[in-house]
Amino acid sequence: MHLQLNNLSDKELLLRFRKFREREAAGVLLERYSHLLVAVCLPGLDAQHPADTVFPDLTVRLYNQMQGATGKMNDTIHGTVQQYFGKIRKGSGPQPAVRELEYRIEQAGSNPIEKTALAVRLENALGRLIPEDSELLNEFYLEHITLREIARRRNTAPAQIRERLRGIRQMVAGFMKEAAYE
Amino acid sequence: MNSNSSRQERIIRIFTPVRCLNRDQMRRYHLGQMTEVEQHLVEHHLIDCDLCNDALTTLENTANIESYQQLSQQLSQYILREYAAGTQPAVRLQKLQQPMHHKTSRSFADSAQSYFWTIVFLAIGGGSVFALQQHLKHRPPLSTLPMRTADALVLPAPKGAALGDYQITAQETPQQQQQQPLVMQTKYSTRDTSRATIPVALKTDTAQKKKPVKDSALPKVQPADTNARKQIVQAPAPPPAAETPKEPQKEAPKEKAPEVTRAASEEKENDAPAKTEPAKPANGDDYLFRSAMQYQQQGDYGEAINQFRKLSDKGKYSERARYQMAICYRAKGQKGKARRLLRELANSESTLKSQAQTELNNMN
Repeated sequence: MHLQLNNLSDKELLLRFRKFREREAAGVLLERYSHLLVAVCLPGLDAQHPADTVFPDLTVRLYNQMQGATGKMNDTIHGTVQQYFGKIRKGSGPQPAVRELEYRIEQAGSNPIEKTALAVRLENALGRLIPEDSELLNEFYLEHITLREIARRRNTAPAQIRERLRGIRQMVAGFMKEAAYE
Repeated sequence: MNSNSSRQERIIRIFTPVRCLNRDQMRRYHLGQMTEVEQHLVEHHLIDCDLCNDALTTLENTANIESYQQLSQQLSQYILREYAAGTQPAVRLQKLQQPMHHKTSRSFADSAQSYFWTIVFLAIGGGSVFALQQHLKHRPPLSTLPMRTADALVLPAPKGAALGDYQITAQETPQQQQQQPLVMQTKYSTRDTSRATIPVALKTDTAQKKKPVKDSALPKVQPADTNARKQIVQAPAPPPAAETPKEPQKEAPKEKAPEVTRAASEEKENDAPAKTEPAKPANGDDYLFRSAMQYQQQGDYGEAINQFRKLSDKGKYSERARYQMAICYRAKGQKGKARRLLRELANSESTLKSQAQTELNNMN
């Protein structure tokens, strides 16, 4: 049973947990993200927050949040950890427009007509970007240049390039949403 | 065309979701063991995933790697153990601990209720056993016997007086007679096939009829013979026409045997024409007489007297019925009626004359 659940995606596991109250599905999902949970929590562990209490509490919180969580599991875990350690959430958090666009592309699947239509609309949205953002987007997504290389070329930190690319994605998703309403 | 489709694919991939990094991918990312495509996919995911980005940022510090590996393994084991199928969730456990006082009072009530019902069931069971014991103790005596015993009416050896058509083999020794009591089958069923019962009126063997009668006297019923478990009561067998009782009783006095034989031979001579006729099947009188005998053996003397009274007016059982009525009256304590009946029999020319006289003398 455990091996079968391991092959399921996050969405399917969440669905099984919500629908059938399968505790094992929640366990598989938590175990799938446990190494990331540990890595994210490591800077926050100290005498007041020992690992013996932090991780059981966090798993219980995550277990409770899974019953009504919307969105991606990684966003849920990151938000829960930030909230647990009392940190202000960095970035913009969950991006509804980006998630919606990702969902539409996922739904298009292997439908070439739908994918072509989405590609045309994406091309139009990318045309609305400023040249710097368009160049950065081309370098990273189309030319597959690494973040470090882009950062080195621009004499900046990879984190800043990441933040910029993240902003560009959100902007394009916003353009796509606007185009859908028009 | 190909370049256009390739560009469209790449544009689509900008917003194609990529899964979070697994343990192996994280290790290889830090070690720089990924291919270019794989590294690009990871970075593609890192753009959008704060969790993986923060995790990789933390693990860039090599001091955290050891504790990361240890804690990651422990947490994985903890989750597998804690969230395995069939385990109670910790959250529910916490919730269950809160209303513990309610559970305590409820469990007390449940246990009290279970004790009450246990006591009730025990009382009912004990009462049932007691009632069953009382029933077995006070039920009619014969009903305690098995069916086979109740089916057979055992007739002991009659004393002294000769009985009309009864013919008993003289060759049998007293020991054999003791081993084989005279048994009259009162219920014909398919069950008792092995029992050594001797039907009263079954054969009309003329050779057996010619044998000397050793003893065919009527039985003597003891006054204290109320317990049916002592089944061997002295009761006369019904006198069917061609009946031949085979087994005499051991109490039969030997000195009376010649007289009995003479009387029997005289009666044989008198009844010779009748004995040539074939044996008749048991009629209503037979059945009535047997049932009356059974009532008598069971100790139900009133019913036995009623049955005998029906037979006492007419028929071949009239004398025997009156004799048995006297025995029943004597057993009931009505000795006046018993004496009167016995006296009538003793004064008449009945075959039971001597037997009645003996009983009369015994009563006096």
